[in-house]
Amino acid sequence: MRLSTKGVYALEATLLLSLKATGGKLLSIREIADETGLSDRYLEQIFTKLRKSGIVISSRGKQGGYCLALPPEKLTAGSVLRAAEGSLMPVNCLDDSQRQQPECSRTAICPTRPLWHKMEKDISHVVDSITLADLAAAYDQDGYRDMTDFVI
Amino acid sequence: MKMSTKCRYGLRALTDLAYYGRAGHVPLHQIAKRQEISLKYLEQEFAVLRKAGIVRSVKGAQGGYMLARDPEQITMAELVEILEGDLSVVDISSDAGLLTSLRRCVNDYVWNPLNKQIAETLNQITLADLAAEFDSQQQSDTMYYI
Repeated sequence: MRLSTKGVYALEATLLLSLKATGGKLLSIREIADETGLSDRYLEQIFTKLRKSGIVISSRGKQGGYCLALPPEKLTAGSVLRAAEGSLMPVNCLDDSQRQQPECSRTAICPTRPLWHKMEKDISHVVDSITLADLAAAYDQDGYRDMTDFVI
Repeated sequence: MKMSTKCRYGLRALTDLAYYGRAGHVPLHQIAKRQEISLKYLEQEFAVLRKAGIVRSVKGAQGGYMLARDPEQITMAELVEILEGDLSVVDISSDAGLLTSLRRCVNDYVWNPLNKQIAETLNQITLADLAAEFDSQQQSDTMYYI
């Protein structure tokens, strides 16, 4: 039950935007790749999804790049993750975007469905209660900015 | 982020065993039939569960499986860990690369709290709870949320 790297990288990249693409400044994929250590080709794919879901906006041209589509206070970690991952449902039978037709015939006698429901609530509770603004504030206040990046 | 088939089917089969195995062991083909899971698949799953000390096999023509412990003593955390490998939603340590300050911040404020919350929930729910759920479903069509 792993989140894919799409979601992980999307959150890192949007945190970077909330820290640096402010006051009309845009960040290019190249700059985002340099700061996050991620490949620009993969970032392009992720940003296409984020743009389509209204998390970021892009501007073309020589000075082009990306910034957040909304103030970071309005963007939760959950909204970024859902945009990148498609869904955060732990099983397909709870996932409207994936639901098979017809619906699973065992729904009423499935002893594990409530467990998956509870798990989905847990996941949403955590990721929807933290915004990019919260993360950016933590980044500044807890001294992450001063930490040296290193390769593990 | 989806639970594996191994985990989803494994939990359903174990709930069936906890429910129907109260009086003794249950032949695997009965669980396969009731849960509509292939017998071959269940045989593989139960080999794993036996090695992990969750079920015990009873040999012979009338053989089958029984739980190795009381279902109250078997938590979802333990089962998901056996069936999924571990409980983490994100494992950054396996992702060789830059441990950037951004990654550390997201780890501390999102992934660690998320992993903690899920582990807490899975530790609280036992196989006996799922069997009780199954029992109430047998008696009515009303959905009951835990």
